[in-house]
Amino acid sequence: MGFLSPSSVMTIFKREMAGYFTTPLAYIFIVVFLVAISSFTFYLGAFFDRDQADLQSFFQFHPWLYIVLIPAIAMRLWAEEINGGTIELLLTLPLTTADAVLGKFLAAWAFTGIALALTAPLWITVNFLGTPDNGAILASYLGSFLMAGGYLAIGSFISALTRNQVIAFVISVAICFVFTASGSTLIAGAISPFVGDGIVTFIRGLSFLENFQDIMRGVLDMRDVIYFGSLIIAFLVCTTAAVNRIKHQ
Amino acid sequence: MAKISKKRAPSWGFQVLGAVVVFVLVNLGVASLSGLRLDLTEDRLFTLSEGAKRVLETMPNSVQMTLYYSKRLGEEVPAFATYASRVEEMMGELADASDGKLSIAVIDPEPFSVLEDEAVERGMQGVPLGDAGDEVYFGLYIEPKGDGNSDVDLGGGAIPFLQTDRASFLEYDLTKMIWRAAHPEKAKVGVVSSKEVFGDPMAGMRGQPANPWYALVQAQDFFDLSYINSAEALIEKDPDILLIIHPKLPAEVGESVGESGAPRIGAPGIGAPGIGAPGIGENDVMDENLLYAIDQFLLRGGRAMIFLDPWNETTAGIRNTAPGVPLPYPIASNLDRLLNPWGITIPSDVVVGDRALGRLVNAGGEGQLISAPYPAWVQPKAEAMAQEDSVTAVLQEMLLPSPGKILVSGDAQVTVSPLITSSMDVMDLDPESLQVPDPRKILDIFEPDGDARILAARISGLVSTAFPDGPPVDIAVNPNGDPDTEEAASAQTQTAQQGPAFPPHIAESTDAMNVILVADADMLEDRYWVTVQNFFGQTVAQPFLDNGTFLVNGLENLNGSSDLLSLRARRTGSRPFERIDEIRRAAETEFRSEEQALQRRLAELEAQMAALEDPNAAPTAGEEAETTAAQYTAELVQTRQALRQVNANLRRDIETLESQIRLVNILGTPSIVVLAAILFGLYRRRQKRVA
Repeated sequence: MGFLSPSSVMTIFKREMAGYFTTPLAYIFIVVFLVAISSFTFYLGAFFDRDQADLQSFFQFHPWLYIVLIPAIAMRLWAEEINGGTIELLLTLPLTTADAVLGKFLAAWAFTGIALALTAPLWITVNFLGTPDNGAILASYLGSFLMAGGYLAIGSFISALTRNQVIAFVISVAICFVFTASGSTLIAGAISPFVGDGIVTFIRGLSFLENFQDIMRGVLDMRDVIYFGSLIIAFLVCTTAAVNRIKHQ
Repeated sequence: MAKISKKRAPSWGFQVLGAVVVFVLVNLGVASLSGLRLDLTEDRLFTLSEGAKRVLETMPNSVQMTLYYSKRLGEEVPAFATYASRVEEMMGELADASDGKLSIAVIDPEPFSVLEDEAVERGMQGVPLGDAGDEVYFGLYIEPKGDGNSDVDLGGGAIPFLQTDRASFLEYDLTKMIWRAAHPEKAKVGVVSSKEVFGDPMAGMRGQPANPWYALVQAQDFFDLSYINSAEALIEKDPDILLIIHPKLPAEVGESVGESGAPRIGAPGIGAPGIGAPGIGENDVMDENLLYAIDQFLLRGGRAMIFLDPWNETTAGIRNTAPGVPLPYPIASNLDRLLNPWGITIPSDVVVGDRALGRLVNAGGEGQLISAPYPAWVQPKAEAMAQEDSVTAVLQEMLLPSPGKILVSGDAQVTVSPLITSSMDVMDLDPESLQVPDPRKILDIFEPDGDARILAARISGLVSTAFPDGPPVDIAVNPNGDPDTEEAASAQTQTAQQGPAFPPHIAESTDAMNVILVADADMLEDRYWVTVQNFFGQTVAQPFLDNGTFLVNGLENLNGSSDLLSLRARRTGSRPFERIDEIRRAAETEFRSEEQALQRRLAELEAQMAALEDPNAAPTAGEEAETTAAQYTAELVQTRQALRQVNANLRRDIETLESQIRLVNILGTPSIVVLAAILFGLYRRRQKRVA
């Protein structure tokens, strides 16, 4: 797998970022994301009814929205290149696969970050209406950003496995869903007759929801940070392996 | 050209598998690493205070804490779900800090199950929820672990139902529970008082109940009370906390006091089992030795609740009814000798008069009923009591009859936290003017100075002794008053040798003392806060004020390590929409005044209508009457409509604000993004055209 060269990564990063803002897709994605998350917050999240100056009604929807929206960004990371034949071109450039994988990933992650940052008016709103705990809100934004990276990494891997963007999308959604909901009572209830309590707890610990809950309340637990970090690294490694497979075909 | 890779690089499948395995292992490994967390909340909601951590670390025994929580309660009332998860989380944090000495469990007691029976047995309060009438539980139970002794009194403790209004004291309540379970012995409280707080000792002989003060009867459930009237008794009983109520000092200010007449006989009265009664033939004056013993007790990190009074109502009342008879108790009590070195004083010539908080009494004359506040009887409500101190936070209302004021000098070394504060509608009153209570006279001359007085405070810190020369040495005064003869000298030595066996003298605190000082002693007497009746030997009490609770809370609070005492209320984390609340309040004020005006008009109209129809009234001409009636009816309908409109307007402002916010957030930013996209697109197209 080669080592990483920061300058190569930056090259790819810049190329990708430019690509985002010259296509209508990016803007559509941002608009859809913003409208959806705000609507959910006010209409599903009982924002006013709760009468609490926090953003719980906002953040609680992030995992579920990410499951659907982030694979949409991820699917074009690799599948498109494979399909369009541009991947061979990419891989003959003087950089390692890992550089390419990381560069693309970081660009997609930064793009998601921008979309997240554009929800700032909500943060301002809540400060206007009361005195929220801004430390907790900041922690939640960081956690959400980290979580988005996790979903992206999974999507990036799936996307490198197939040339069909739609298949990449569907499978990514499915896997992201499993990772998200493995903590919920639904899945735990389904598995627990078959496996012991320890396994159920362990599987619950591997879910996005579990690890995001604490962060949402304002606590950055090392375990949660390591969870997301290790997840991203693991799936990027997988992505690199998958792309290399194509390279050597 | 792709290099023919002869590297033994594993196939991509293995790499993927490897990555997944490493991921799982890393997370497994990290799973047990608790405690490495960064609490970014502003109130540090998820971090235990230092005091709580220390209590947990230094626990001598193991305890088991169980939370009985019905999930159904959380599903029906979301506020409880939030609180319950907070409780569970805090239990987890406490367990982590205890290094294995605290074990926790969470149980959802199903209706009609064995677990539910157990919950009820352990004191959990079930609350019926919903139609089925099934009860839900939300309580905590704790007991020392493993010794098979399930005696609830000994360390076992319970919170039958966790009230959300006590949420800010969750950390304190849980830590306190754990502390008590780990230190199961009942704390010893030594009571020093000139009054018959344990009841009339002679009553037993007359076959009547002794009637101890009910506040002490309540305290007895939690503490081992004993009477202390001498330094020897203090040394022997070795109490954990001192309760000093209106002590009588040898040199009194003002009134001449006689010593109590008959010797006390140490027999508990009927209806007051178990309370230690005074000894035989003892004098209940607080002599030098006792004062010194108390001083040294406090210097050793002692805890005390002290009730002093510049004007003791009951004693003054006796003087009224039986003038000239020597009083059994002093009218005023003070401990200046101890308090002054701390920088504290309670002036004995001042009674605080608070008009805003004065108890409403009948100030009318013969046959008249005029309700007026009696400023000398201060009745503080919740707002006048410290909300962050666990002792006063949940108290609703108390009565302090003729309290003094606590003055803190500028250079006081101690930390003074007010517990009960008067309003600003106060002035100093002369105690003697209260001899014949006359509310109207006081109100006539009332001139408030706007300076809120401290009526009760918590005093803590390191202090110096009030006896810099060491223990007092009794000087036996010989009959001709000359202490210099040899006889006197040997008598002196003898007395000194027979004196109390004081521990070594210390001049400075070795540990911070913690004292709750109250400038009134009347408040503990039954008549001011509780009705107690005796039904065939059974005491039935109905408190109507919180005075007794204040005493028990105070003693409870003082009983505990200093770490426990450092725990304060934590913010609950509830942050409502203040701006919306403001709008609502403003709208309500506006609404209320309009509503009241309209209601008055409505009432007037209705009265006038009734008058019209009144057969006894002067008859008006038929036609005139009809038009007037029609007019009134029309106005009535109008007024009612106006009222409904005002009602609707109440919500209008808030709803407008909410809609605006929704609009800005849902459509605002996206619109800007779309605009930016269009502009950017146009810009690029122009670039392309140019190029």
